[in-house]
Amino acid sequence: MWLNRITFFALLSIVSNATAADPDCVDWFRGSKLETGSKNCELNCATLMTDMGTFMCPNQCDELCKPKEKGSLLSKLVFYPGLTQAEKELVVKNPKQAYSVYKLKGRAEDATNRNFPNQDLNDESDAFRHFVWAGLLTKELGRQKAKEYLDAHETNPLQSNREKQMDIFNNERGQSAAEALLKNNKWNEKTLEAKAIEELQNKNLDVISPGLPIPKEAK
Amino acid sequence: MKFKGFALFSALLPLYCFIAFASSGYYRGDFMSPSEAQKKWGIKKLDKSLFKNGDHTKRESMAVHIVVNQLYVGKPMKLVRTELGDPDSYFFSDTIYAYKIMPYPGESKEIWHLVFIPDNKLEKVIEVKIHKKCCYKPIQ
Repeated sequence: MWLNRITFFALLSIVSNATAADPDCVDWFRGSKLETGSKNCELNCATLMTDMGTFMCPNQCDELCKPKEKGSLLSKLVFYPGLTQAEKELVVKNPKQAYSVYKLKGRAEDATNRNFPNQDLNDESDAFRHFVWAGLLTKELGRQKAKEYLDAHETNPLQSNREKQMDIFNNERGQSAAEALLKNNKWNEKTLEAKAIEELQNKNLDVISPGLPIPKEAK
Repeated sequence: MKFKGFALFSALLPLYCFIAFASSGYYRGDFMSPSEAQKKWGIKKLDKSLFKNGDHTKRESMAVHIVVNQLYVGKPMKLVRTELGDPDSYFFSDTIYAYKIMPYPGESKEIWHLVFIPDNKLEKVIEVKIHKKCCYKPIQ
């Protein structure tokens, strides 16, 4: 089982570094010294000189100019399964920060397991998890940076629009709650969880499939 | 020669440990092997409409059929949702489809669900597993 996990993890790192651009075009692009992800990369790439072997390469400038997921060793290790493309780009930009985001995701899941032992998707536990994760991220990174990670997660192509809407709404509530707690010097994880429970009891969170028992107070 | 091999192994040991720790840390909890699952629940050919119906008491043995035959591996994730219905459980991330396969047994009691792990592009199923949902210890 351990071996399976390691293999999967290694495979994931390899796949994450794959590129769709033609290898000749990659060499052609490298020779130009243009920086991937830079502001005018695509424009400058499209006007580069070509020859018989590379005359099709300007068509691949959008792919060639994408920031590559190589980054540091840490960024490779932080590529955990199920990341959206937007999340991976954030991991490459700032692997240390992304690792904090990953750890806080675990904390939000633990809090959810404690408070909602029988959990479903799109129910109160789901709303709670998003609320708490968003709150923890806001405390750790500030509203703007936290929102970048939260929004990146919501670019998930496998979710329905209604599910995205629910998550985004509950993330926003969690961010606002964290800010208010910080402002009033009442911040700690327990008060954040208590606030999430209170919001659920008052039906202030978006829940697609309600029905789970809500605890009277945070556990 | 033997000493060199031992020295190399020792030098790389912390790296192995770190990789093992990092990779196992992603998916907390246990997975049930297909043979264990078959022993526990038996196997019944997947009836998509029955599975989609959402009756958790009837999903276990069909989940075994899916896992034993790795039915959806290599298929689009969206096909899973079309054929098996909306996911009704949570595993690790919203990007991983998870389905309850047994009724809720009560707090702190073991419960398993079926998870479809997507590829790097979140397009196709790379693995289907039965995962123990309750009760792993929190990371400190």
